[in-house]
Amino acid sequence: MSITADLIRGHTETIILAHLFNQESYGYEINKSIQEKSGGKYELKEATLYGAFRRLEESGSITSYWGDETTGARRRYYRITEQGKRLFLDNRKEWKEAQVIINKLIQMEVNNDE
Amino acid sequence: MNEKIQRYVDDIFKDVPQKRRIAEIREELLSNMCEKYEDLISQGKSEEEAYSIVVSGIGDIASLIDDVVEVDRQSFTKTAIKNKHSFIKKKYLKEDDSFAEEYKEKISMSDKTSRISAAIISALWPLIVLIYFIASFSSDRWDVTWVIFIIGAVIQLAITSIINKKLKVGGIIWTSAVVLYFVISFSMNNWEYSWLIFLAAAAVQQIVRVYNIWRES
Repeated sequence: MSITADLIRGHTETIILAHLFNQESYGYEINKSIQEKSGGKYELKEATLYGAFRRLEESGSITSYWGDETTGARRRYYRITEQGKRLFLDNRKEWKEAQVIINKLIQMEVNNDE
Repeated sequence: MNEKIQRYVDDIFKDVPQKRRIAEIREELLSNMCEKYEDLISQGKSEEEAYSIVVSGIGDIASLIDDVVEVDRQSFTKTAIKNKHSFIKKKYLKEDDSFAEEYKEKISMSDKTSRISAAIISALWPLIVLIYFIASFSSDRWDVTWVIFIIGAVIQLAITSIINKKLKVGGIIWTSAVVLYFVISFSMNNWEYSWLIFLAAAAVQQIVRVYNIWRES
């Protein structure tokens, strides 16, 4: 599981961009959707999530604003920019290419000569 | 809003400087944690279970806070980066002041001391020239009185050393040379030779300098 978690963590920003591609959203909603889509197998830590938000915002891939919730704490909403959309499509393309290559590299007969 | 979670978040941010960006992360964290908590309760989790799930989901928030503080600091002054590690530790031990306030204070203090020493030194030299002429005309010993300028240079060195609170080797050498010069000159009345002490002092200073360079390499 640790390798899986590391692999996924390396794509945190792309995963967040995927969620924001078609709608604005906020931290908990994004994390909840990640949890649901992964069948409960993966969930981002709060710190990882905000770290990724910060980097994406600094690079101009997303923008943020505070919601005007009247009850309870305010939500911080995130919105993808055109640059963010391009970044997402590039990242997804690269991942698919890497996937094909890695599959070829590790696909072989496993011989147990013991 | 859940009070237990509120208290937990308060505790995380207790010793962190209250910057805008930090306050934003704090509010965002609190809001998301509370919503997750309510969600877990509505899914039938007990309050204790929900609380421990929410708290264990925070992750390495300290590193994130460090990163944000670090960026603030970089934009404030590059000098601060040199003190990075010791400063971060100090900052977390301190309860009240934020980093920037503390650092501004330091800078303004060194500004103040350098202004004071500049003022003293600029007043010093006209005074020395005045003393030189008075002494020379009244005693008619022009062959000796020029030494006043060397004394002036030593006084200046002493003032800057004292104000910067570090007595350099050069300061020690020149101060003792002046003291020695007067003691020898007055006691033996050999003013025509005793000024050679200053040449000796210059030689000693060079030797010390070369020794320091050799030791460092």
